[in-house]
Amino acid sequence: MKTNKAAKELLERYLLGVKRELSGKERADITAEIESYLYDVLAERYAEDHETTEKEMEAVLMEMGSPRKVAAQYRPQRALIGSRIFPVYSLVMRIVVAVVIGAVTLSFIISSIVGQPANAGLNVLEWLGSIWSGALSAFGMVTIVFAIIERKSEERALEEIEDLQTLNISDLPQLPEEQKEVNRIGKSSEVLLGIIGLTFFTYMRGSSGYVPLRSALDNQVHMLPFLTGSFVRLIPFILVLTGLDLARNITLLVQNRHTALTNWWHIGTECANGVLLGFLISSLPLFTLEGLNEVLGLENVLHIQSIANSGMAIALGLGIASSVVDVIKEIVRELKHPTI
Amino acid sequence: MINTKQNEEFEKLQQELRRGVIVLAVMSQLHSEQYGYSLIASLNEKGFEVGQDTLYPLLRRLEQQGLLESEWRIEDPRPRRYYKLNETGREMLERLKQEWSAQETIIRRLLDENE
Repeated sequence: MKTNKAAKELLERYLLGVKRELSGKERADITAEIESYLYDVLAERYAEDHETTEKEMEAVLMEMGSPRKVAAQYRPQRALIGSRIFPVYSLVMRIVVAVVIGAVTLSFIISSIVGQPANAGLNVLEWLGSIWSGALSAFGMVTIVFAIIERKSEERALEEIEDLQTLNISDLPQLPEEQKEVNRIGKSSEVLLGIIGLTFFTYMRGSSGYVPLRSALDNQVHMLPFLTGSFVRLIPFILVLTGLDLARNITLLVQNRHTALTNWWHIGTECANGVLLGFLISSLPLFTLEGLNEVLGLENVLHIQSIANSGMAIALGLGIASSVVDVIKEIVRELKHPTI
Repeated sequence: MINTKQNEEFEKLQQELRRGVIVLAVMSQLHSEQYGYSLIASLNEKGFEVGQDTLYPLLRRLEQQGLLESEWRIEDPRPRRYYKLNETGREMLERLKQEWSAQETIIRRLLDENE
């Protein structure tokens, strides 16, 4: 039984949806069993050499029902709120608590702007206290209302609940990039670039930042200064970080999937990259073209050198900003939806 | 004449009735090991209809109660979880079978009284 890419992605989105509805250490095991069952259903319906399409997968998933419905079967029966109305209770609770927190925060902002200036620390404490008491009241009220509904509507089918049982494909969560397969061409290119980078910086460290150049004036090869001494001192750190990134890319190519280890590895190297870029900025200028004047008889090299170093300063600044954004995004994503 | 409302009521009572015996039906099929889908197919084939939404949580519960053993195995070509009764499960099944027979006799007698 084969499955095409779109069908496989749809299944993975569905399973991710189920996993998010479950809690506890058994959720990976439960999801794996549901996946196994779905493949058994497909194997029963289609020939062995048939490739499952997205439509066929969708049909099977529709029969299963929404991830919320599937996950609800595994939850223990709650004494106060039964599993039948628990999905609605959970949804309403999230909305009400979010609205209460939003309203309290908005009123805090407005009163801070138009009100009397006071101690900022006390204001924040008051805001946190209001959020706590507001959320607690909302939690209590919603729970009481649903406990009453649970008792009163035991025999009545609620339309809202029926809606939540039906699978709506557009409601399924998107797969985080890291859970998709590794882009082998992209990673191979990064490995190649990493090897070129390692070779280049190893050479530059050995030559103390000098490069060979044949002179047009005397047809002799001269060693000309290219990188400044302050840049050369940072090369060992560049080599370590390039090596770590290269090792990560090779690991990804070998295992063909992102894992928690490779993601945190990436976060670590991105943090270190940001620090290194900061050191590089503080070490400007990084390039020197003074030798070109003597060997090639080029004029205005100092002007070109100044432009190159200014361009490098801008590029390093952008690099730091990009690293910071990347690290924050990755950490938030990894904490919210840990890669398994 | 049975109307829609009565049909719905019947279905609910039927579900309640079946809920009471599903444990017995499932345990009766687990003397030899089975994975979820094969167990559903086996029960359905023998006239006892059960869906995955009922079966899998039940299997998990029976395992937590110490009546079943399960094992993941990679076979042809994907992993499947196999379930089987353990010694405690077999003893429990024997007791449940006796209880079922006793209840069946009683219910039969009660129903026959009215015919």
